[in-house]
Amino acid sequence: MIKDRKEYQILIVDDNKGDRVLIEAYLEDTIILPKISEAESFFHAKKIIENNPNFFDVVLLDLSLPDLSGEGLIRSIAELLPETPIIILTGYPDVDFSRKSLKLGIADYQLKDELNPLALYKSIIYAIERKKVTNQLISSEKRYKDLFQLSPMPIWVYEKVTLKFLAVNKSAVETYGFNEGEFLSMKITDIRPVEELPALYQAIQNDLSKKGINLSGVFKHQKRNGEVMDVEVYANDIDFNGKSAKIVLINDITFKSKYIQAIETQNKKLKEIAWIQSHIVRAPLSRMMGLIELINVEEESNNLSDDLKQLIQFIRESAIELDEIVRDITIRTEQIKID
Amino acid sequence: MSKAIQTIVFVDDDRIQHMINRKNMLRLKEDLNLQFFENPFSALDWFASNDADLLILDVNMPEMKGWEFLDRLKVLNKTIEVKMLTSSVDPDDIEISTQYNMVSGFLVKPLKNDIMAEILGL
Repeated sequence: MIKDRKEYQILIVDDNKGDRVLIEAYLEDTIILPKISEAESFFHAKKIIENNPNFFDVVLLDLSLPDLSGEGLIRSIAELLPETPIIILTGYPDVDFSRKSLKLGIADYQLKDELNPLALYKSIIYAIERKKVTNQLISSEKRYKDLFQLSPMPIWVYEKVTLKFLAVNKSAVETYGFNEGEFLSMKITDIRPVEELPALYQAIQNDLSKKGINLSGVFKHQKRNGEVMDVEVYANDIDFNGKSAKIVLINDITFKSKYIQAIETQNKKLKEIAWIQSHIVRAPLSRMMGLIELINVEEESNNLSDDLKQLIQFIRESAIELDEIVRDITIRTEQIKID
Repeated sequence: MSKAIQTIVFVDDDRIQHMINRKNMLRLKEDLNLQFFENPFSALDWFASNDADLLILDVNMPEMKGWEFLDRLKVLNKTIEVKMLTSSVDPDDIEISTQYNMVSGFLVKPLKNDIMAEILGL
């Protein structure tokens, strides 16, 4: 028989020395270099594991140890080695428990009496490969969960029919002030001021005809503390645990809205100033200009000195210059526009 | 200009502009009948029993806007040629003026003698 040349780190946890020797003999039959560590009790096993974290390829576990046994033992070992496959080797056939142990994450359940080298080897190889796949799945699931949970923007999923929240991320919890449990007992109608509900129902109606990612619109949402924010809502269809749902991303634009409002107010004030310039300031100016023209006409019949004529001319030029400045300010202010 | 302008009414809250306009207008044509009103209500009282050939009306007066004055003139069934008088021509005012058939133009303060001479047909 061709032996496996790979190096395996195997932990045997069994209080029966005879059984340990037998298992080791089986292992040596199929594997050239089994690196075997032995433990006689859970306490002993725990010490070995803690000294060599992420070290073992597989654990062969007897179900009844002097200090711990059964389900408690399985849970404790699995907790210490979450990424390592565990194979149970037991002297007592118990179909119900064997089934239960698989649910606890056990890779295989073998009866010592039925064991032979090949069966053990096969069980070990299968367990290691299966665990690799499971670990990849777990890490991939975690990765996608993180994408949802750690998104800096609030995201949630709600069921289309009931409008109930099905999932919310951390940012939603932080932004809205409801904890996850509260969110999951609420509907999307519960985070809006009452007067916003017609707009929401309209948006849901409009959404029925839309496919794919879309901007549902700008809405007002209400936080737990009553504060109302302006938000842009993006939505997409999602099948969530078999439920027809929407995944929704929220962009808080309260600050942006306030900013635009401030600019609009400022713009209005500028226009008022322009009006004051062109009407109020210009009124006495146009009076002055009229008076200067009057003097100019009168001067023809009177004999004003050349010096005085010169002074009148200067006043006239100054008034015209001021008039041009006022008009220029008015034109510039009228050009201010926000699109 | 279908008929010679004889009677001109000025409605403007600016007393000094009135004085300037009186001097300039009489210099242009000394037999004009000129009526000056600082208060638009006094002007409306005058219109109740008098007519004019031309009304020169300030757009922005403290008592009422020029447009309101025109609305009240309509109630009196008056149709007079009107020139709106303003310190500055506002696009909004031009827009509003299209609703008033009586308004034939805008004049910017201070009134210029050459423009007034043209209006008088001189």
